Order: sequence, then C-alpha cells, then structure tokens
Amino acid sequence: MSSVQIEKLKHTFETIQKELSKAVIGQNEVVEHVLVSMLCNSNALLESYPGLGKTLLIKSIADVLELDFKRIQCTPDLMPSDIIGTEIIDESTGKRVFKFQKGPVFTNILLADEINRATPKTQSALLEAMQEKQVTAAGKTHELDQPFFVLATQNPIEQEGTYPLPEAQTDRFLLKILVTYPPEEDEYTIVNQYTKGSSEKLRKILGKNSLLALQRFTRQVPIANDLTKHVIKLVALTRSEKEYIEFGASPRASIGLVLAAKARALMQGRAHVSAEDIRTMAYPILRHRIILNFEAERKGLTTDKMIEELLKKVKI
Amino acid sequence: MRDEFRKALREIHTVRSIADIFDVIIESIFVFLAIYLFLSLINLYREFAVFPTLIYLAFRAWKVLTEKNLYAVEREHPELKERLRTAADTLHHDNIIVSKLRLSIIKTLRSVKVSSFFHFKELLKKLGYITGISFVIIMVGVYNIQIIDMEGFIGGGWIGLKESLLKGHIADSLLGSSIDSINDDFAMNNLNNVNTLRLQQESMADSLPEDLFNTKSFEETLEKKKRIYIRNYFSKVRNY
Repeated sequence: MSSVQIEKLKHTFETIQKELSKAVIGQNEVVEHVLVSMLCNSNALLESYPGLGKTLLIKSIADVLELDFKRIQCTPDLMPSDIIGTEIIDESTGKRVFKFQKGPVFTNILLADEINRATPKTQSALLEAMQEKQVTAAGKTHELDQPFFVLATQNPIEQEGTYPLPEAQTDRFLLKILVTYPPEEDEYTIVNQYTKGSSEKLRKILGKNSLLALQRFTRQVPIANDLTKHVIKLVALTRSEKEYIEFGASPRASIGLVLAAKARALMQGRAHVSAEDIRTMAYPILRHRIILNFEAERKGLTTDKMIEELLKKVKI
Repeated sequence: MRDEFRKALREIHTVRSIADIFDVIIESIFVFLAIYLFLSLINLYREFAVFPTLIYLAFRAWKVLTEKNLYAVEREHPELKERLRTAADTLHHDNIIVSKLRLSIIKTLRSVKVSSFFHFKELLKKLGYITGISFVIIMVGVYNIQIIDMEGFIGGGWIGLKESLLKGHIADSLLGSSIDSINDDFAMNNLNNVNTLRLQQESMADSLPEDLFNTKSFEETLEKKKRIYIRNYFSKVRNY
C-alpha cells in the first residue's frame, strides 16, 4: 500500500457510502460509524425507534462488502440454542450420531434485530461470540468465520416489552449508534424511492479479504502520545465525575476510542489520528458506557450532553 | 526513511530552539530597558533593573525550551498539524503506514523554509520598541526627568549612605545622632591634640633654648648688613 493508496481509501469509503445511499437515504454518520466498527473488528449497537431503516442499513452493508449475512429476530421466547446452534441426531451415515447443527451465529454479519426484546439469558449467549469470536456448544468450542460482527439493533428501553441489556454485554459493543429521524427532504426521497416498487441492486465494493487487510492496517495507524493521554484522561473523567455520573467507562472504552479513531482516520485517507477523530468517536464509544445518576436525569441531562461537557473539560 | 526523518526532526529542534532563544533575548532586553526607564522616572536604584530581567530571561528560556517545539512548528505550519507529533512519537515503530506518514512529512518539510521559523515582522516590531525606549531613556537622562524621587523619599538606603560617605558630605538628618557623636568626638580629639602640643611646648621651654620654638630662621634674625658681609665672605672662600 503506497501513500497514494492510503489517500485512495477515502475515495473507496466514499464510494461505499454512495453505494449505500442508494438503499439508505441520509444517515451518513450512522453508515460511517458502522464501518468504523467493522474496521475495528468489533460489534455495534444501533438504537432508534422502529421504522428508521436499521435493518435495511445492515443488510445493505453486508451486500456492499460481500459478506455473509444472517438475521435473528429477537423475541422473548428466543433460546440461546436458536442463535448458537444445537446437537442433532444424524442418521445419514446409517449410525445414529450427534452432529452440531450450526446456528445463525456462523456468519460474517449477524444482525440481532431488536436485541432488547430477547431475554437476558439469550442476550448473554451472544457474549462469547462477540468477545471471543467463538461459541461453545455441548462442551465443544467452535471458531466463528472471519470477519465476524454482531450488529444489534434495539428500540429505546422506554418502549414496552423490552429487557435492558446487561452492562457486561453493553460494554462488549464497541459503539452505540443512535439512528435519528431523517430530515424532511430525506424523508421525501425515502417515500418516493420506496413507493416506486423497484429497488436498485447494490454493487459489491470491497471483498472479505480486503476488509480483513483493512482491519490489520487500522491497528497500524499511528497516534500521537498526547492524543492517547487525552483519551485516557477523558475516560478517567467519566469515572471521577460523580456529580452526574453513577458509573463511568472502563479502560476498554479507552482502547475502543483509540481504535475507533484510528479506523476513522484510515477511512478519511489519513496516516495519522487527529483530535477530530477522537472528538467524533467519543460519543458512540462512551454513550452506552456512562450511566447517569438521578440528579442528571432530574436536570434532563443526556449522556451525549455529558460527553460534550467532558470533552470541553479535557480540551482535546 | 526513519533516519532521514530523525535527521529532519533534529534539524527542526535545533533551528526552533535558536529562534526561540534569540526571541527571548530580544524580549529580555526590552524588559530591562522598560524597568530601567521606570526606575529612572521614579529615581530608584536603576541598576536593580537587572534582577527582574534575569528572572524573566530564565523563566522564558525555561518555558520555550521545555515547550514541545513541534507544537509551535505545527501552529506555524498547519499542513503539518498532528502529523509531525504523531510521527515523532512513533519514531520507534515501523510499519507501512508509519513509513508513509514519515515520507509525506519529509515531502512537506522540503517546502518549509528555515526563515519561516523566525518571525521577522515580530522581530522588527520588538527592535522598534527597544530603539524607542532607549531614546526615551536618553532623554530622561539628559533632561533629568523624574516623576518622584523615591531614593530621596526612602532616605537613600544603603547605596545612598555609601555614596555620601565616599563623597564626604554626610547629612546629619541622614546619619542621625550617631554621626553627631562621631563629629563631637572628632572635634574633641582635635582640640585635645592642640592643647597637648601647647602644654608640651610650655614644659620643654625651660630646658631648651628659646630660639628652638622661634618660627624665624637663624639668617632672618641677623641684621641686613651682617647678612651681606657673611654672604661675601663665603663667596670669597669658595672662589679661593
């Protein structure tokens, strides 16, 4: 990869975004953050009210990146074995033997739709897959395909019939991406596009191997020491700021923020991390790792507002 | 590529440090002159202007030398923003992306002129201030302009005392009763010396010839005729 090719990456990712925009109108920031998560070889949680195109977005990304894609619709009666797989009796060889029937987790992109509608037990079943990129069934460990991402969607927890994700599981999502309502002009385009009846087929831009190579390059992007120190200071501040924060972020958030900033830099065709990368990625990295206290709720503070305040304090 | 970048980095540090120190020296000269002028106007030990100047010089030099030069370079050359620091911090890393970063920085640095590290406009402005303040100081000295006489107000202090002692005009108000007593003692001693001499002369008068205490020479006591006669006699003896 020459310097020219690094700069070309910006063009590649712009092409991906352009291609995705055929299916997903607007939501450029959401697309960017999902791609960041993929370059970091991590998982992302998308949160929004129903009907904002979360599932469509993830499916479109899988198409453009030529990745296998499976979807599980999380419901209260979904069992862990429905995700991981189960042992079945195989009689095809003439003998009755147990055979592992792979579940939908054996794919490149697993869309766990409305994850907060599944029971905590089922949600926890995804933990090992998300963190270790492997699953264990009947005492046997099975490696998952590479690359592997869990892209989960959830409706805001104020909605009825939902189970808040356990903190341990929330922390395993690198990013929490908020999908907001589209502006009026975007909604106009959406309505026009989806009432015509024909949808454009998406081109494949990147292959599986290219994505794996980009994941390796992401970790090689250098970052200045003072920027790393700022990241650590920011994350530490979430733990020491007791006035409005009940629980702060763990060092995993520091790792995630540096990594996400590196991925964003690579997507922008830069061979170094900038302060802007950190400022931008701080929101999706920290918003699900900060738990505000009652005082903050009373004052109507949101986690994003809190992150904004912390960024001002750290002066990145 | 790494060695080339390391060399470029060293060059930046050296040039930047020289530029900074030069700047600090110019500023310190200005600070000295400003304080000197102020002290001249209030007539308070002008030579003391050197102490705050030295403190200023030390503080500023320490600050500019400990400040990360690269920050300053990035401020002046936005095209290097964050890249230069990142490359400097990852000097010991070696991977394809870091190498590309170094290469791109070296390319950028080639277009950066050494003169860009010296702010000539700022420098000229500071030299202008120095010239101006020097002129004012000369004028203040020539016309002996003072707003207040602090030295006189606080009584001269130790330097004033030293100068007065050297010049030999000690004001009584300055030295107070202590110098009065010294003066009294001095006058008394002088008087005592005169008296002692007179008494000694009187006591010795009995035992020594009277003409010993005469203020005239022996020749002056002779008549004029006798003096001429004696002089002629000795002239003849010499010629003989």
